[in-house]
Amino acid sequence: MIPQSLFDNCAVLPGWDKHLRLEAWKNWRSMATPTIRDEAWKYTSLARLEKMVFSPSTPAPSTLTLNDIPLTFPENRFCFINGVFNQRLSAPLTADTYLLSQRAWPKIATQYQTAQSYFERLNAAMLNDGLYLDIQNTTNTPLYLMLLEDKTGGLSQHHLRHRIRVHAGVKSDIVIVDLGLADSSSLTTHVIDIELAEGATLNCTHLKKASAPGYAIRQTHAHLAKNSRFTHFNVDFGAKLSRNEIVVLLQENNASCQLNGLALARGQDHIDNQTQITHLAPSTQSLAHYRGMSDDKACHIFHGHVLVDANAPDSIVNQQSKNILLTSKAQVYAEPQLEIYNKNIQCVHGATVGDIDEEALFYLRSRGLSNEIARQLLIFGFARSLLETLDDNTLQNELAEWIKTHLALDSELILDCYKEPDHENTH
Amino acid sequence: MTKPNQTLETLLQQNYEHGFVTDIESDTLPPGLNADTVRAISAKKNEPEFMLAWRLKAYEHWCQLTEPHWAHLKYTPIDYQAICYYSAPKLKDGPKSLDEVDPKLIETYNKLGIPLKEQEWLAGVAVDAVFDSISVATTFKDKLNDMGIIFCSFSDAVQNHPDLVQQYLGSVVPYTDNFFAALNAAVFSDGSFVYIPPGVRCPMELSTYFRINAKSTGQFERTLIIADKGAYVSYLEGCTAPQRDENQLHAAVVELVALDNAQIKYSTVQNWYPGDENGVGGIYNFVTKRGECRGEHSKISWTQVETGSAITWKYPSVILKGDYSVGEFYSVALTNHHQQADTGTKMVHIGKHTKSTIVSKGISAGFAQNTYRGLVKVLAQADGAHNYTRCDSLLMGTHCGAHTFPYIESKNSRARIEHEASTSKISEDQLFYLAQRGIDTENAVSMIVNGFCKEVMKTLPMEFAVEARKLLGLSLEGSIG
Repeated sequence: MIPQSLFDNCAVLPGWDKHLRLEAWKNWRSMATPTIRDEAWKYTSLARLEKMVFSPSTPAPSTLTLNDIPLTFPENRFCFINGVFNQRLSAPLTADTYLLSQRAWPKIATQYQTAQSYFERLNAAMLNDGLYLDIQNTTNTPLYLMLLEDKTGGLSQHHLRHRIRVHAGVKSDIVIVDLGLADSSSLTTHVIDIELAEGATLNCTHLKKASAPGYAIRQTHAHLAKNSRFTHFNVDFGAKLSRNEIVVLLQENNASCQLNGLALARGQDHIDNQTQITHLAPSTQSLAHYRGMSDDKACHIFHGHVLVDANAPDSIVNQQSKNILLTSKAQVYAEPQLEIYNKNIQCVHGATVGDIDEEALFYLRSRGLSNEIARQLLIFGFARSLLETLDDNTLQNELAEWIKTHLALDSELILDCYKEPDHENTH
Repeated sequence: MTKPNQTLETLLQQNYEHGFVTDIESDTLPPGLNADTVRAISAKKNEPEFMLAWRLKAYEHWCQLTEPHWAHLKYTPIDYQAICYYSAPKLKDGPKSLDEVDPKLIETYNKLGIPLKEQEWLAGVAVDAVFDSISVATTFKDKLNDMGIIFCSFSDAVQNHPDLVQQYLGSVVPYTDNFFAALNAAVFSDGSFVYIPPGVRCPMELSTYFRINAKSTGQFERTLIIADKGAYVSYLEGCTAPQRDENQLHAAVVELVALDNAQIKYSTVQNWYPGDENGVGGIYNFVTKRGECRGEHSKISWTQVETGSAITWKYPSVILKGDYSVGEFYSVALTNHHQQADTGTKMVHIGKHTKSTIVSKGISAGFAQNTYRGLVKVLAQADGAHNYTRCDSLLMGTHCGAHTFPYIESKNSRARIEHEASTSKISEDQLFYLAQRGIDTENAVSMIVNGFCKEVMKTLPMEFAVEARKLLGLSLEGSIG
């Protein structure tokens, strides 16, 4: 994947600690590439990726503008293009709340000592840039973190690591826009570490549309203190390999998390969603709801693991995975797993796999809709119902538009048939 | 809640009811495993050439394998060279009737509550009892013979029906399947063989009781059941074992073949010695059970009540090859003290409109770990396949664990898979409600657990349901904390 010579010749970015980097490189090299014999990679083969050689990205001036991204952006935003911070497209917060690039390094580097997984180690060795965000006050508008990939030509790679801290009692919303605008193959790894202090709330929406032939590995680690709440909404539009690993540690009393995910795989896409939630303290709650749709020859994997420790009585666990397969060549793998060591808990999980509900289809057809429109409506409804868990209506509608475009649904017809819910009444 | 719990604690501490050893001279091979051991076993059983060749191939394959450790189990490593691979009760000539059977054996079965004679006449059950590794008593043979049903020990089948054995042996569980299946194929000593001819409905429940007896002896049973076109058979398997201080290995293989329109119902009550309350001793139970619905509209149904063994590693599976075939798996797995169970099923949908149902109830008490591990796999050609899985866990102790590892793999858009699971405990409210009505904690727990397992228990044949309830009652109580 990355030969030694490439690492040696790769320019050391200013401020990055050479010694730590070399350690990280050795650390990565010492680990064998995961194979389908490894439980966590059972359905995702890295055999092809392993044979490819990716060169480190060279920070070239990009001509991208905000208009290239069909989203409404508020004032606060950080933009990274090809793994490097881009001043032109950014409109950051006040300077005391964040650190960038080399200034952020000491804060981010502390997290590297615990790097366990293969791609986290690779990320440590090849890191390009990063952001350290210290959220001290509640903000009313969401903060956008834009991780863009522009055309580079050839096989490129870039690696980012961010650390987000939310202070006690502070509520914050973050939208991560993870976009691949290149049409060439690339390898990108992004690691985000999140720490929530007592009573903090973080709503994180991760919108991911990696470049179609790309390999995009994302890892999110969240540590939750007492009474804190973390919600994560992952919308994945697919790529050659799109893997999302979310690890949540509910470390103190009454911490709660809600992980929602929507995977819309088509063509030759391979979306691999992995969630791992660990309940370590009493009265902690977790909810995970993942929906996946596989069209054409696409593949979707949901591997959810919830562990309730013996020291976590009165915990509540709910894990759901719903999947639809639209063609006979598409595939779905679902593994909603539970590991429970305490009896005083409430715990349910469920998984379904199937085609569009025949009865619902019949119902719509009996009301005069054509088969095609009825199907489109049901597919859209399948995705849309999960979007409704988002508090931000603007974001909700924008995502709905993205979904319509992505699935090539007839917007006009759906608009006619799909009555928008009255959010003021329903929420 | 403390007072009734103390009573239950004492109940829980009671000794293993079936813990005793019958003193019978055994014909035993020295411990250790090599190609000569395999040859010796085959020679002792006077097997035809094809059997020896098959065993040796299995042994060679086994030598290349390493023991799997992916299951959620912790146990001291097994020394395969310390195990004695053949032990047969010494019988000068095969018994022709029950009167000729060693009275000590009969006594053993009586202690276990299997009065052969009474069963023969009252319950209408034909018993092929396996003592250690050799079949010693077979009843109702004549009646079954008249209908063309073959129900005999595996060794007899190898001698008398080599064609059938050669045709079906290893066709569902090949020796290459897994580590324990390869070991079994190399050294299996005996087991049961059933063949139901086309269109015949077996008039009685066929049953075999297994029992480990000779010290340091692993048991390697092999059961093969074939239901030809339109046939029906219900087979019962029950296990009890005497008390031991050292761990014993049990690696059985069960193969079922159902042809067009055939039905096989296989029920198990497993009560091997689970070890003492400190986790010392107990049976290691590594079993490969698999059925193949080879024909259209065929059906295979597994029902198991697992209360024994220190370690259970068992996944009765169904390969749904024939169109419109049906697979079922009903399971109650109960673990107490330091028992560990990693059990579940595999349903592989290959044929069109195949259907499978999985109902699993796991109960965990004391320091036990109970894991459900199940695979539902739908291949691309299995149009209209349908699976429903329900797995519930009940936790009864502060130090135990209940885990669920389902694997769902679908490659067909016209298949429907539903999986649901829950984990809960016996609530104070339930116990209080029953106490209010004058039911003591012991009975209340028993009622609640039996209610929890009802869905599975009702699929058991009558005789087994009684034994299963008794077993649950014995093993469960006292674990309310």
